[in-house]
Amino acid sequence: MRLLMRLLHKWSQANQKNNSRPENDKPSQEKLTESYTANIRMIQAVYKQCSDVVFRPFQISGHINATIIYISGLTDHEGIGQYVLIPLMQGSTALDEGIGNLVEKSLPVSEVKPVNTIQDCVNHLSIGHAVLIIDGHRQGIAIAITKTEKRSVEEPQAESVIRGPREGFTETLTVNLSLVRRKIRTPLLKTESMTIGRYTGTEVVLTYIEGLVLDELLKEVRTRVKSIDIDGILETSYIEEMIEDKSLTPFPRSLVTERPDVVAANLLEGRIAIFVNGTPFVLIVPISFFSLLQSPEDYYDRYIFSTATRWLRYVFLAMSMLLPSLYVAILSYHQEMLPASLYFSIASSRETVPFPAIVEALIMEIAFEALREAGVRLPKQVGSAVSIVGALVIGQAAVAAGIVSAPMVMVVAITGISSFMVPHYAIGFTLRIIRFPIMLLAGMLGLLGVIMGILAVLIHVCTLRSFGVPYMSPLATVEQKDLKDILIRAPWWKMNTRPSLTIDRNIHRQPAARRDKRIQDEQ
Amino acid sequence: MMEQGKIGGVQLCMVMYPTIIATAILSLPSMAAEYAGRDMWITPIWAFIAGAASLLIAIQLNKMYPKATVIEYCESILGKVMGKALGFLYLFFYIHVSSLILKEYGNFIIGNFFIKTPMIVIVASFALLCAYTARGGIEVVARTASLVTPFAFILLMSVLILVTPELTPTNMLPMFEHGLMPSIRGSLSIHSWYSEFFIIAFLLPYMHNRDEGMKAGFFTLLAVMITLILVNLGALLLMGEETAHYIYPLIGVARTISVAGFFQHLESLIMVLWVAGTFVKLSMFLYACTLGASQWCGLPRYRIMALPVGLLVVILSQWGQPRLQELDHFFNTAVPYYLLTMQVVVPFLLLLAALMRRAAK
Repeated sequence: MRLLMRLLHKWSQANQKNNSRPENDKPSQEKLTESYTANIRMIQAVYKQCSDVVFRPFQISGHINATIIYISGLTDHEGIGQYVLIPLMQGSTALDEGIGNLVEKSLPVSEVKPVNTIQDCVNHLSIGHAVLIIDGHRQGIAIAITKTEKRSVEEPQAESVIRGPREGFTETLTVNLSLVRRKIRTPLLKTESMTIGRYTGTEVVLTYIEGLVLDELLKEVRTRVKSIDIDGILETSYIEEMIEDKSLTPFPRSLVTERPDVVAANLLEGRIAIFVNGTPFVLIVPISFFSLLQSPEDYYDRYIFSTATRWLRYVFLAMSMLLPSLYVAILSYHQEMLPASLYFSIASSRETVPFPAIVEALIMEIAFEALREAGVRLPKQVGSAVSIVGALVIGQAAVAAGIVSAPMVMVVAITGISSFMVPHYAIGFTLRIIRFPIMLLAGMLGLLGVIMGILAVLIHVCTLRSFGVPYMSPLATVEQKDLKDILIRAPWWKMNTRPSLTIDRNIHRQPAARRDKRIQDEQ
Repeated sequence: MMEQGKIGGVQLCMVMYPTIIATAILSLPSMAAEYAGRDMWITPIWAFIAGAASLLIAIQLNKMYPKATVIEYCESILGKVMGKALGFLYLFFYIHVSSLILKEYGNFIIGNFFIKTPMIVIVASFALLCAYTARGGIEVVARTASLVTPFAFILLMSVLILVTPELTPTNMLPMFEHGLMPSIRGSLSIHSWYSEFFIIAFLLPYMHNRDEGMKAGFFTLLAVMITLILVNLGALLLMGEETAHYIYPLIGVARTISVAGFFQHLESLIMVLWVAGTFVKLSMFLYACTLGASQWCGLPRYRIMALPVGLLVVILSQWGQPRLQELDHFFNTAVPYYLLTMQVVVPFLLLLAALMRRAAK
């Protein structure tokens, strides 16, 4: 172990030596000068060999040289003509009184900012603004006439509900933020923006509700996100892996969602959402294991039904992890637990099977995982063909040929279905992976192996933390107040308090006495 | 302070409950039946005395030294040399008791389920799990216990409920045939089991709220007593005085269960329940050993001690009493006095010394 650590240390030191940043990956901080041609030349030098950058020279009021620069495709062509070129070319603006006057009188665009350095110009150009450079002025003008290619707001594919809002996030950050802002209108909803990625310059936004979020937590998340220094961020997963508490584990320590209502609900419980431009997935921290088992619909259905669904989910969750192992363990070591008639029927169907139960189970489970993966990767039309051929034809043939037994096929199928009951894809994957080591233990030690495997997993999850919140809270930390949202889904009139581990002030969702008052009124 | 974690009152119950009953439910009914016969179900009530005594002593000592464990306040009370010596004695005691628990576990699993598997595989793999928990510290011990204990409790209760159709209540009669003495004599081993409550001294310094510790401790004592009465009753009503001849009466209880002709032969459930309970118990003992050893040596952190202590316990469990009968004899003769001395008598003397020390000031 120590040897390994030393090797890692040496390796990271060697890495640090080569870690000098590549030069010239950022344009200079040079200021714009009074010389018009020099300014244009500098910007042209930055954007050399960029065929999509347009430099359009023209004259303001027929006598002052100016150039408008923009990136075609990111900026609205028509808007530039209509709101910039026409007023400036045809108007009779005198520039003696400075740029401010020009902006005030002749630029009918709502968002306009002065720019002073080349770096500023580049920043604005890259997000789709146009930059106006005028002869004889040290300042340029950035004009926000952005055109965005965007997908419309659709129902999220991975998290569909029967009852509840059907909108999902898109790839555009502004749209995503607006979807949340529409649900939480208080000005206490803060959106802190930062740019990460040396080359991609991706906009990352921390969202939280001031007064609900813990200060230390916010500070910790902020420093962890800010300390990321990488060439590019293309998806929230980059950030997820870079900021989570370091530990080798298959368990996800942050929640990923496509749904604005899920983000809003979590913000109200004092968590922090991290938006990344260019992806519909939003990261929520800190979470506990049980956040991953909650579906948004739990809160929209009637509470009795939701509680029942929740328990069904817990049971099948355990099944997806344990069913093949239990089958193997009982069949190989504890046959006496089965009633004789059941055991005979299983035994007769296993008569022609050449493998021991554990090998049979491993083969089938791996085959099932392969089918699942193939179904996801293949084009939709082919995917259904694969699942039909895989599940029906091969399964049927394998049983008929006596290579696997029919009960085993059933066990694998039930396991597969249960693993899809988990509302969040990530945790379903974790449980499917854990299944394999437990299956091996079951093959070696029977039920003892299974219980040891479960204990090992339990110890592991109990040591985990997500930004300081124990991963198995509130069940393992026995926060009695919070169990109302774990063991059952308490009716909304009983959901008086927010989860106590992410909130330490402003604990009450609603006046506690509300329900009692209502009952009194009825009497 | 070496341990940064904090636990709550309910978590304390969740740790202490299996720490006492895990091993007790298996072998105690037959030990109690040997002397008490039909009155065996009363024995847990007598044993309340030892449990309450060790609990009260631990709480009183904790009140005088709120932030210290046994190993630490030994030194404050008796001075450097004597304190270190007694601390070492306690350390050795807890390591020895851990090895006894492990040996019991090994014997049970090998004897009932895995007859051909080498003992060392069973014992070492289990000790590794528990050492891993102990390494995580008090919070991990408490959290795993909070998840495992309710599960084990439900299993135990369902076994006892499912067996009710087979019971014959007349097995209890006549009560007190030879007066109270047989049941008092039979309660000796249970007294020693209850005295294990003294291990709460390793948990009390790390409570969120110390008053909760006292309440949780006595609540656990009550829960343990009721559980043991139920288990003893189950064995008695099913097997009568024959209970004394079984090594593990609870296995016999589970074997007779038959519900709707489908749930039969649930001995494996007893194994699951017992492994889960013993896991919490051994984790707690190993944690006490690990923390104690590091405090005794004055180490800055205790994590590195967990695996070496675990290894020591595994090796110790392979020494002495090679056969179940010898182990049983040892449990019936020496162990009660051994446990009661270390967990009631010595702590009581410590408390007296501490009080005298305070009075002298």
